[in-house]
Amino acid sequence: MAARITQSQFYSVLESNLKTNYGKLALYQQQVSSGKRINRPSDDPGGSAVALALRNSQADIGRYLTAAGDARSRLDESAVLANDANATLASVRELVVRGMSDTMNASSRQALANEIEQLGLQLLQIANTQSDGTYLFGGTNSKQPPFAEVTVNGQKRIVWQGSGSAARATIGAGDEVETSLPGNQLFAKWSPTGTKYAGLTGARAGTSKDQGVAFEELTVRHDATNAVLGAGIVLANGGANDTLIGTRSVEVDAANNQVRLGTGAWTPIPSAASGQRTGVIAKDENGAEVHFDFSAWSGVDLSGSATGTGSVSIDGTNFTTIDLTETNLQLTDAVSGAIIHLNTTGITRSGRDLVNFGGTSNAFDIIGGLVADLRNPSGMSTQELQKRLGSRLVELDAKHDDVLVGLSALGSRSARTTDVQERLNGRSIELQGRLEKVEDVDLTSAVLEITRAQQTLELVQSTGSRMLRTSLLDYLR
Amino acid sequence: MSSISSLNVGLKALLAAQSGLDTAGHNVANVGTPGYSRQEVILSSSGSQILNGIAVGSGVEAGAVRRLADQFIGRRLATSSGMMAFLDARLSGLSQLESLYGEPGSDGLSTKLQNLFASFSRLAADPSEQSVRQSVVSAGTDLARRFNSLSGSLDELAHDTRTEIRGMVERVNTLANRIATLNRSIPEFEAGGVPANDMRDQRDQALRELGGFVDVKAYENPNGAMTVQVGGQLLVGPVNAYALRAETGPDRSVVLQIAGHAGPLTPRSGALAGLISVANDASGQRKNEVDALARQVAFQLNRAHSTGVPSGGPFSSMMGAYAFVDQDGDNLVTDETLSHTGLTFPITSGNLRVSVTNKTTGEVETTNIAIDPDSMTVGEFVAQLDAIGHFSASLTSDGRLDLTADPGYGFDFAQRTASAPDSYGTFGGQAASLGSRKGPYTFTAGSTLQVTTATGNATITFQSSDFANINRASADEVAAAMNAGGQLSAIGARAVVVDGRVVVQSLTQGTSATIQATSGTALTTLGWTAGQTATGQTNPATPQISGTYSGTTNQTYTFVPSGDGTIGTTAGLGVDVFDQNGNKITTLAVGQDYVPGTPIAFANGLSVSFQLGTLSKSNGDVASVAAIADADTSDVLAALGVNALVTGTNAATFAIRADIRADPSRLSTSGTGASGDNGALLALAGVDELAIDAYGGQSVSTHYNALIVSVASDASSTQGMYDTEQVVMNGLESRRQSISGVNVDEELIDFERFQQAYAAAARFLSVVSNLQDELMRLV
Repeated sequence: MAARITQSQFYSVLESNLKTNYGKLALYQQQVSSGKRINRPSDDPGGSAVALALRNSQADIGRYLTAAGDARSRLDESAVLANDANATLASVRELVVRGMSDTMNASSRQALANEIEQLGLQLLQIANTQSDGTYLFGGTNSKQPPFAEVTVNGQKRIVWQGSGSAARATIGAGDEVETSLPGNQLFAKWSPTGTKYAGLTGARAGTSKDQGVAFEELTVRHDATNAVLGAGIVLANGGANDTLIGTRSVEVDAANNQVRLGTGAWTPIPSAASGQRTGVIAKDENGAEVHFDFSAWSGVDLSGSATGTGSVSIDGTNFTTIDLTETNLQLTDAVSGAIIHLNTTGITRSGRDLVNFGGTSNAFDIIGGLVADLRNPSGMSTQELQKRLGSRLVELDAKHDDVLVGLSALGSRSARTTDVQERLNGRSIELQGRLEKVEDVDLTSAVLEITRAQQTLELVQSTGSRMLRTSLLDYLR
Repeated sequence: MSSISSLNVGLKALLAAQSGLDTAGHNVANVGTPGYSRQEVILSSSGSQILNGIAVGSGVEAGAVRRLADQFIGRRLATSSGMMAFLDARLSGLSQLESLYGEPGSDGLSTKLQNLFASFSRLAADPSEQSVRQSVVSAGTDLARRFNSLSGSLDELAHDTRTEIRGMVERVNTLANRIATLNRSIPEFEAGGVPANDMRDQRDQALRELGGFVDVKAYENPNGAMTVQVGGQLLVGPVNAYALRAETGPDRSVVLQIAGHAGPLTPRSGALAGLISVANDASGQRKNEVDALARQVAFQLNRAHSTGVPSGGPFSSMMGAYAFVDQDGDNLVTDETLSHTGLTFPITSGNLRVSVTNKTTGEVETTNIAIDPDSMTVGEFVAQLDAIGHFSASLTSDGRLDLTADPGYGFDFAQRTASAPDSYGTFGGQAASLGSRKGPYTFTAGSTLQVTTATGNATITFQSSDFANINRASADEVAAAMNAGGQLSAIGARAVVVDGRVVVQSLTQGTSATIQATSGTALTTLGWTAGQTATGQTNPATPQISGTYSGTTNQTYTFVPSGDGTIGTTAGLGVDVFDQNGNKITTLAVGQDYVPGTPIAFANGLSVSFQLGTLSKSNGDVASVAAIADADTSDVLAALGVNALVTGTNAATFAIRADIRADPSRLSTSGTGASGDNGALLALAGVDELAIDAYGGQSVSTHYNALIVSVASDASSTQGMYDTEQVVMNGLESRRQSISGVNVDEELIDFERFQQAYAAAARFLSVVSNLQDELMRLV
């Protein structure tokens, strides 16, 4: 049987076609006006899944970008300060070199010391710079100034009290960057180079390693002098003012009226009339002195010897007698905990020798020491002073190197965050593009679709109205 | 042929044409009536009469008026429209549901979560920044509000839908009653032999409407009454209708019941089924998903937050957010095991490290509590906490954990790595110490050990009662047995345990201190030789740890010298470093080239330095350090809500801890306790990338996205099914129309036909009448 067509079918077909086409029009209309293909997840669940994942990635990237930006600004701030520190240390060095010159007198050195002291304070200020209420160089210990003045063994010293761990920032999945450089790496880097002696007394490092920080003072004390002499020559004051440690030959050249110790320079013997024969000082090749009393000299040549004995101490109170064959004498400073091992075989004279635990002192210790030496309250000779300043200058140069290394570390970290920022920005743009592809409507095709839907709708309307108008009634009379 | 019968033939023809016209008129009148089936008159010729041997027809017979309807299509149509109604109701509900999530958009949970993680990251750049700290709290509060409002809107949707369901149930009952009324009328009417076409149409229409609400099955009885079943249960009988009721079940789901039936009714199609599925989705699966998500987020954030330390330093007091609940009904929670205390979040087997800080000296004492939730009771747990020095723990009356530090002390659960690992001085220390081999040990009952110091000698006898298992005696048990009798302390010595080894040690220090494992049957067990003697020294080795541990799991590192000698002096002297599994990681050179105090990196960001001291491998020198990545591997803090960031156990109660909201400085930022450390914040931000076991290794965000896609797929697949069903329905409707529909043109033709037939019959009657007149005139 052929299908019967009824009027209500006309109506329902027309109605459903109109509905479909209006629905299409409304959909494209919404897409075009919002610019989005997916206005709610059910518009395209698969596409939504992709879009949601892309949005998550974008949020992550945004987070990483912020972190990288923050890290970079802190790193750059640190770098500027490290650069200032670099300049300050360079000025200190220049002043110290001037202070080492032979032509400097005590008052000029005093002035230099004052200047260096100011530079030291400036360096401390740099090291303790705060940014947003936190100490830039304090590592994770950001609430305390990283370098503070404390009294150690009755001496005021600047010590590191920050944390050696730097705070980190996450700038990628599993990718972290340190956002600061702990100050100990710049100003108090521990890079031991072994114990060094200023070289005044001839004391050397023993075979075992030493335990200690920064500088200590080794005291070589002269205890007594035993001399094999004759011709009426005796030791002045029983040798109390001598500095000789060890045995040296004593030669008196009567023809030229001179005396010498070991291979040192000849010392003229004053005439008997001058009345200065009681305190003739002979110096050996190392500058060790023996005081002779020539007042009863018979005026003949003499070939004898003098032997000085002494003791050493690291803390200035406990002395150990020097056995000139000992190559590994252990000395302990109970107060500071320092332990040194001394090779005594080369000791030639008494005096105070600067013990430098190479690479263990901080920049402030070094500057403090330089200032103290330049002020020279104990009246050291220029030679002694030069040796001490020289020893400290080596350390200062090491610190200067540390600051430069730190500066380049800060620079490379900053460069890394810049790279990451660039990469993340690129990735963000790429993700945005993918997101647009998934979520956003293709305007050209959407407009085409609207035109098509509109045409179809018009067709449906016109054909429908024409169909509805037909009725047999029009023709039945 | 009689003229009378001819008149009859004419009359019948008139009447037949009349009823044909009436029927066509009825059809035209009902052209717009929904569910109307076209009717037609059945015409047949009357039987013929034999007149004078000729068979003459006796005219037309107008039989019954019949409905043109296909039962099969009708039933298919009913099923299909029921399905359409179901899908339509579900679709509108699902699209409401979908819009509640607000995705994609700035108000979605996804954005709120990301904002929170971003704020953690932002604060990590500068943990002391107050304004950023405030923004973390704001982002957290925002997230909490979104969770709360999502939960509220789901409840509201479920509630509104339930109200709609109750209204719909009323409609169902009205329709059922109408069918029952018609059921009583139709047999009465049809008893007269005439089909009750229009009443049947009304009943069919009511049934169809009913089919829009629930899935109906209808059977007609021989007497014309109809029984209607819904899901196998009787809704309308031949005489009566049974009332349908909607109730809310215990799990917030909607339950339908028909009076007189015990079991619940589960409609499979119709709008009612659609609404019920939406109500149950909103209050069931979707609500549960959101609640589970809120729980997971809260738990993970709390895990990261609980082991952190706020900028103000360690806590002086702290109370848990979640209470232990009595399970066995004796009103006592202390006898319950930790795994069985009614907590929402699970406690796992692991360790909790509590650090108590002396605020004056800065000295930190860390205590490790091993937690096995299946065997440890609440009482034991609290007692172990309470036993920690300068610290007390108790339970509040409602079963929450209450922790307090003594005045001048503070506590936290930070990832601290001890800087001085050799607290006993058993690694080149100043006291004389003799270390044993590593336990466990096999003892025999009654075995002895004689120890001699400069003061005298002591003999210790081991009994089986000293050990849980004498064949596997632990170092702790051995040391406890040694110290128990007091013989050791009498000679100025003690036994300590370092990394599973027993170390006997003199209490005096310096070169005059000695300790000797003199004799005894336990010597070999502990790995000592008779007469083995250790001497104290002046300069201790003092290992010192520096750096921040960067490993991802907790680890214990043990230091053992590789030989005997003095640090910085003896050529080739080394220190072997072992991990907790006994694997050697590295050997640190501390011989003649080592400058004392120089840190040597050994593992994961940690370094160790030594001072000049003499080490002895043969005398068992040992030190160990615990490197902590997670101070609470048992998650007991998160489970109890101690130092939580989030309180609440579902989406409705999810909230940022009240005192953190009030004072953002209480937010934990530091992971190690150092003020500028941002470990806790990095861990909190890292929750975003954390692979969650319960989500099959997916992150929280990815899981949430999957939820959204599932909601969207539901709506979109329902839309697809609706579209398909619409096509099926259209096909069926057009087939029904082609059988039962009224075509006005067709009826107009019938008008013409029957009008002509009527005119012809009238003409016939007038002919017969004329014939009779002619006859009369003849009479």
